[in-house]
Amino acid sequence: MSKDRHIEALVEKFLDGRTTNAEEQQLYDWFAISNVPEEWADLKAMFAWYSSGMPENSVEPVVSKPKFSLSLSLRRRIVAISSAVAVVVIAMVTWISSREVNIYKGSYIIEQGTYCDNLDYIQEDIEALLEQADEIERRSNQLMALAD
Amino acid sequence: MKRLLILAALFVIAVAECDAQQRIDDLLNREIESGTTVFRMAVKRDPATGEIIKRVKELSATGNKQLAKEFIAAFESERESVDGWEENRRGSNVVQITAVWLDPKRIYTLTVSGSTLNVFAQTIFREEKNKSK
Repeated sequence: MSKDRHIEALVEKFLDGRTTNAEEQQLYDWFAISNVPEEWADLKAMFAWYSSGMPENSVEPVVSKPKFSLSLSLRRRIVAISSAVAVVVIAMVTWISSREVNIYKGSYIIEQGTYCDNLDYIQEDIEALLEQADEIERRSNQLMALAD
Repeated sequence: MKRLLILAALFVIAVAECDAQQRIDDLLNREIESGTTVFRMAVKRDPATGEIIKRVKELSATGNKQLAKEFIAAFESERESVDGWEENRRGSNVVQITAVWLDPKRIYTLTVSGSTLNVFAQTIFREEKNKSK
């Protein structure tokens, strides 16, 4: 006997205490007439006890939440939470990396007609060029000061 | 309207900046495309905002005396517009010129030594804070 998905959902809802009277009756009826899988034997006994009006001379069957409820709902929640966390992490990484400015962005070298703007290769040259520029600027400042 | 005025002001500033050393820049741009020289463009940005602080262009060429003559002529043609000028010559083979314009600050240097030509053009859009001396 295969587990009915609808019944599976109703059982989970029942164990969470969220079922309506009609849904509970549906469960009682289904468990009364169906050959349930082995792992639902406890549930069958429990629903029989409920449907018979919970007689005092019998003890309420102790039913632990079936394995499927953990595997289904928990897995869904884990997937949902993981997806949300992943989206947030990706968004944060993208935002942070977009804020990081490469101070040499836009620099390039053309040598023998070959264009290169890969800063991994040209950064040292660019830094040397900027140092040279600083030196020229210092000299020009002196020149302008003399002119004044 | 306000945005239009700002754009117009920026355009005027850009045009004014271009005008001052237009001939030298035209030559630089022509030579970048020729592929016969070494051209380096260095951009330095503000790490916080990404705004360009300084832009440096350097062109080097060897064995092209005609190009050296063209650059010397271009520099000389701009002499009237500069705010600062320094020139050193030793014979006809060694020429060093430094030309400075202000607002924004631009420093162009030309060095011709024998068959070697070097043109260095930097525009300083904003003075750097805490710059190492």
